[in-house]
Amino acid sequence: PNELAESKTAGQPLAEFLMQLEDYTPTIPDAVTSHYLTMAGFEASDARMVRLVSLAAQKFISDIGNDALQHCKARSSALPNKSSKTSKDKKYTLTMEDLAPALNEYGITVKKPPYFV
Amino acid sequence: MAEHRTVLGVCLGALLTEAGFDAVDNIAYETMLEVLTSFMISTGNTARNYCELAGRVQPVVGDLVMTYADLGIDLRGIERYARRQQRLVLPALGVGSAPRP
Repeated sequence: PNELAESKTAGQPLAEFLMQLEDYTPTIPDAVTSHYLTMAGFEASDARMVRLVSLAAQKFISDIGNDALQHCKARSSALPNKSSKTSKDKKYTLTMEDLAPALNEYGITVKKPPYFV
Repeated sequence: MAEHRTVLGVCLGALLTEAGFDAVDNIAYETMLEVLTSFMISTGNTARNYCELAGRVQPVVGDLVMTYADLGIDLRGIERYARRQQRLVLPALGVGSAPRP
């Protein structure tokens, strides 16, 4: 019942948050986001709505990126520790091996095309 | 079209750097770029549908709220995310400042 009460008012804080986006610059430029939204037939007259979409997209990507990084760290620490002395200045590379399970958690199934040997 | 994709690629790079990655495989980069593009197009499509369903022409915030509920995108913590300390802001897209390829 608590969750229901929360979800009933879920739009309210978001609408208040939208008011604060007046002078906020997301990483993804407004022009790019509104181009993709216009491609889908969504023409927002208010720049704040475009910024909200930019922020939501950024958060989605960041969440996936963080998950992938955890996978990457877990996998590299599970490896035999022959490179343990270089673990301090270890470089992390995003690979499909880490990205696929991270995307899977968000309902995106990535399959390697059969023609890639 | 290609320009938008290029700029989006730069943004993706910034977001992944922020997450803690130092490099990205080409195929992983292209996959993430597709995910990002698809996210925005799905948002646009669903929000337009909600807007038209309500008999409106101008979209409102409620359409986006419904869209993200529909798509299963969790917007909790977006305020905290927006105010994060280490966020990278790319320089504004200048006109004529960068050489065209």
